[in-house]
Formats: sequence, structure tokens, C-alpha cells
Amino acid sequence: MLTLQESESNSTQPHEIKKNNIRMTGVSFAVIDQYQDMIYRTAVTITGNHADAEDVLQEVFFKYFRLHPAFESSSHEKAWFLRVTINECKNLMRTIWKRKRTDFDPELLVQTENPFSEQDSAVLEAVMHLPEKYRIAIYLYYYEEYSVREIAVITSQSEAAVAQHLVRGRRKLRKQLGEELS
Amino acid sequence: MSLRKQIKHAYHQIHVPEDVTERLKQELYQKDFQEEEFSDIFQEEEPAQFRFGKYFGFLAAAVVMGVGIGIAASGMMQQRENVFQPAATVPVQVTATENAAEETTETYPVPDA
Repeated sequence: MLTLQESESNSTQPHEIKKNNIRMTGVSFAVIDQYQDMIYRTAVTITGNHADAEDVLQEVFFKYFRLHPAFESSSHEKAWFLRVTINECKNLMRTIWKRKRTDFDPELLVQTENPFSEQDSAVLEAVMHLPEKYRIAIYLYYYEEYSVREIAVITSQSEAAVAQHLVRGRRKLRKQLGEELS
Repeated sequence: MSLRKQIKHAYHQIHVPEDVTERLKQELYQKDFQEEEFSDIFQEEEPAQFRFGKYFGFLAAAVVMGVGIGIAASGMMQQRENVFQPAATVPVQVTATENAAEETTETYPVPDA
């Protein structure tokens, strides 16, 4: 859509537009390789199953491809992807059908190419059984290594709320996994 | 092992399946290709002024055709009204025996030359 708008405003330079289109394709494909796992993990964390995560992955890249936003830095780009992924997941989970479904799909641990070790399965299952708001905070903090302030910006929450989610999530995780995690 | 390490290790096992990546790239490529095709069409378009002139031309032609069709239709309707004769006004066919004499004796005024 944006391509068309661009071409409309620059209709005097048709060759330039075509060049931009080709450039966009190259950038998008590099971006897919760079961010697809992160988007997929985030989507799996929130939706709890592979099928929904795949839908979200597709939607996020379609959005990126359509809007082709400009970023100040790679961290800005990464944060944009995370933000859009979280929003897409929330949109998906808003439907009544999704709300009624259980969050965690045990198939999640079976469908991956490399089978999970017992410990990994236990950790992942424990994380997936946390409430959604704790799950996303735990994932962003421990896996993506964002600070509380950064998570607050990405998830559009206050820092206090994020800190509280982290503390409660961590407490629940420890309870579920037992003393070995501490 | 710390909680961070355990979570990192567990999440690190989750990857996008290869077929999903391929499918996504394929769909994005097709989308891009369609947009590119569309932009090619756009590039070949005439300048705006001529485009508007063409639209007005189409509009004028449509109006003229509409008026023509209207006139033709009304003419046909009128013609149809003249031709139409309700059953009540159709002259009753009389038998030849009753009016044979009248028919033979009837005279018609001949206009002067």
C-alpha cells in the first residue's frame, strides 16, 4: 500500500520507485532471518502453541513489509518487532474462541525438530503455565535481557507493574520447579 | 544452574520450522511481485490532465448514449401506443350474408381531381 502511495507522490521518477521495491525485498528477507526466531519465541510465549505463533509471525512480517518503517538503530528495530508481535498476539487472543482455549499446548514440546531435554521441558512448561503478563515479563527479562524500564516501554506498562510481574512470576516459577532453580 | 541460564537454554530450543520460513518468504515475494507489477502499470499512466480529460470524455459519451437510448425507448413506446388496439375497439367481423348487399351497394365519395 505504501509502495503505491510512494509511487503516486513520485510519479515523475518511475525508475527510482522500482529500485526501491527491489531494495525493500532484499531488506525484508534479511530481516526475516534476523528476527523470525525472536518473533516466534515471543508469540509462542504468549499464545502457547505453534499454529498461532506461525500466524503471528506471518502477520508481523506482512505489517513490516507493508509499512516499511524507518528505525534509528537496530535496537529500535528489535523493540518495534517485539511491540508489534505482542500486539498481534493480543489481537489474536481477544477472540472468544481463543480465550476459552487453554494457554499451553503440550504439543509445543513435541513439534520442535530438536527434542527438548527433560529439564528444558520442565522449565518451558513452568513458564507456559504462568499467567500471560508474567510470562512475557519473564521472557523479555531473562531471555531477551531487557531491563525493567525497557520492558515497560515495550509492553506499555509502568515500571512498577513490570517489576511486580517479574517478582511474582519468578516466585511462581520457583514454586513450580522446586528448589533446584534457586 | 541459575534461573536465567535455564530459561535461556529452554527457549533456545525453539526455532521457526524451516517450511514455515520458506512459505513466509514465498508469500512475501509474491506480494512484492504483485505490488511491483501494479507500480509498473501506474508508471505507464498518462499525465493527470489527460487522465481527467479522458474521464470527462467517457462521462460525456455515457450521457449522450443515455439520452439516445431514452429517446429511442420513448419513441418505441409511443409507436407501441398507436399500434395497440384494445379488443373492445376491434370491429366485429360480420358474416358475408348479412352485409353482402351493403358491401356491394356501398359507394365511396371520390375526391375531385
